[in-house]
Amino acid sequence: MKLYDIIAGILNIEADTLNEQSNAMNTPNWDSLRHIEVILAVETAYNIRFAINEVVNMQNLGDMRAVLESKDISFDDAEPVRLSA
Amino acid sequence: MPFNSYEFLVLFLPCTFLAFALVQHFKGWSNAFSVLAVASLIFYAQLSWKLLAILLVSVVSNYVIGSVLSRSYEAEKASNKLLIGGILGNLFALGYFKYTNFFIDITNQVTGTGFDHLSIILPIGISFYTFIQIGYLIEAHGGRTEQRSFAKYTLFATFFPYVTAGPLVMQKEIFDQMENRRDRALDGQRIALGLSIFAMGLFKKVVFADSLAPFANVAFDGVTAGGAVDPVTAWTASLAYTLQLYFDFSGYSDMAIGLGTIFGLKLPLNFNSPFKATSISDFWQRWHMTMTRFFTNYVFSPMAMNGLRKAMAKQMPAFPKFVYSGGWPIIFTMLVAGIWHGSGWTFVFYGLLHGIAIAINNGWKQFNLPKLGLFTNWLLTMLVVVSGLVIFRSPDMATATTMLSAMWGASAFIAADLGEPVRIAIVDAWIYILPLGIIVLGLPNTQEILSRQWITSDAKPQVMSKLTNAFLWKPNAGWALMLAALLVFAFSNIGSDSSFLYYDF
Repeated sequence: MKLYDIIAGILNIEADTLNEQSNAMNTPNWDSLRHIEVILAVETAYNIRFAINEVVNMQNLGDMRAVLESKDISFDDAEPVRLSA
Repeated sequence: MPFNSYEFLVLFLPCTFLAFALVQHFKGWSNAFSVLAVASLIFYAQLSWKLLAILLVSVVSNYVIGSVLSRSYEAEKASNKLLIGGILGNLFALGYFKYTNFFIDITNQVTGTGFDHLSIILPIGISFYTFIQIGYLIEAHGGRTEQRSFAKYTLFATFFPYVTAGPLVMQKEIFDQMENRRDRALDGQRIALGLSIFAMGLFKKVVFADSLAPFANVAFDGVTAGGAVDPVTAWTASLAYTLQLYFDFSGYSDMAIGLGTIFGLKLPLNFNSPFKATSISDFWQRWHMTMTRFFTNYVFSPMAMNGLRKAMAKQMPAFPKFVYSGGWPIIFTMLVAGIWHGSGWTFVFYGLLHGIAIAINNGWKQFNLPKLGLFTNWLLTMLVVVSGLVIFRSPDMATATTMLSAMWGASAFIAADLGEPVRIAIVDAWIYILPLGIIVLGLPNTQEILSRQWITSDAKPQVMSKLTNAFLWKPNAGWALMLAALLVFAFSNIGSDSSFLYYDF
């Protein structure tokens, strides 16, 4: 399970439409509410918690990857996530 | 000395630029930034020396706290207590200057006491420079700042284009531009670009906003004084104010970005044709964008994430989950954003109205309710915006209630016996409202006209605007002539007592 698959799953779009520049401004279905779900899904998938300033500085998926790497997280290890009850 | 004053345009701006360019040429960028920092303090001191003292206390304290936070992060001992203390200190100062008398009013109303107001002057821009620096402390705590000279920090916190009314910049977007500057201060093309943006902003403020002001002022002041108002007058005055505030704040934001450009420091976009929005959330992504960004980052997101975590842990059904993670956090955030603008019940209700409207908008999307069509979406958005601005403009809730009841056909339910009817020149007002409305809704905005230059510190959008060539700014004689004409016309029409509406916040 890769990061893009998790995010595409939350946004209900195809994973191959995402790239490192993708963010809420340029991606369909991605608004401030979905953004919260995206972050939570990534937290759950990698079993981590982001600090406020980390969330603030994630301007796009590239930034998110950098934050994950700074936590020594290997990219392909994520577990599949289901946010809804 | 606001941007639309002769002192600023004839004296302050040329002198500052001359000193800045000379120092950069002979002594390098670092010293040029010090010149700009000193100029910014002089700019602020022109408003009041006393208020400069308050600004300096704020800047020095936050510089010291930020440095300690940044060093403790490097020593791997990030101090949560210091961060919280620093934020509370900032909020306490803001609260004291801005809200003390509001609390006295509430105490008097609730307990029936008769405490007098304290004579506290509201330091101009305190809401802006306080929040800019709170953002800095959070970044320093997270290890995202570097140790910088006091001069550079002062410039970041008090740069004159934004110290009085924003944009609410983030540290990274300003400091990144100060590092490793290789260009020259005296760059003709960049200065021409900055002056062009400034000219458009000055024109919006002096010619458009200031022409609309009298219609709104007469009606609102009349109602506050106890006058009655009919629906046509109420709607006309409200639309006049809506457009006045739009051109006032959009003009101010253009001028700020233009001034930043002249000195080679790009600022974030603050305005992106908000009245073209087709939902209330969309509106807040376009109106006062840097304020929305601040409250989204530091109030809404943390609350919504906590709410969603709780909802997931308790496996809540869809509706309570929405209330926890999207509904209540946005209502609370907008309430805080409303109160941030000023003390008084009007700002409480203004925030609540927008919070509830966005919550409904979010819920509508979340639960896939039927789509209403683009025009209906736009109309509903604008009705909330105009009604909200009536509350925003009113000095008290009584004025807001009278105006809104007249607009929404509910005057009959107001028991109070109202006085003489308020009269404004309706036809004259519409002579301004109609064409300006068409400009707002139909013409490209400043950054679209300048889309080939990309004038702000924000990331470039992946899809650039598709304006036809004729609307695109070019550094040629035709555009120079037109913008010079705008500048001269605005310059010769500057009113004596017209400051910016956002100076009050």
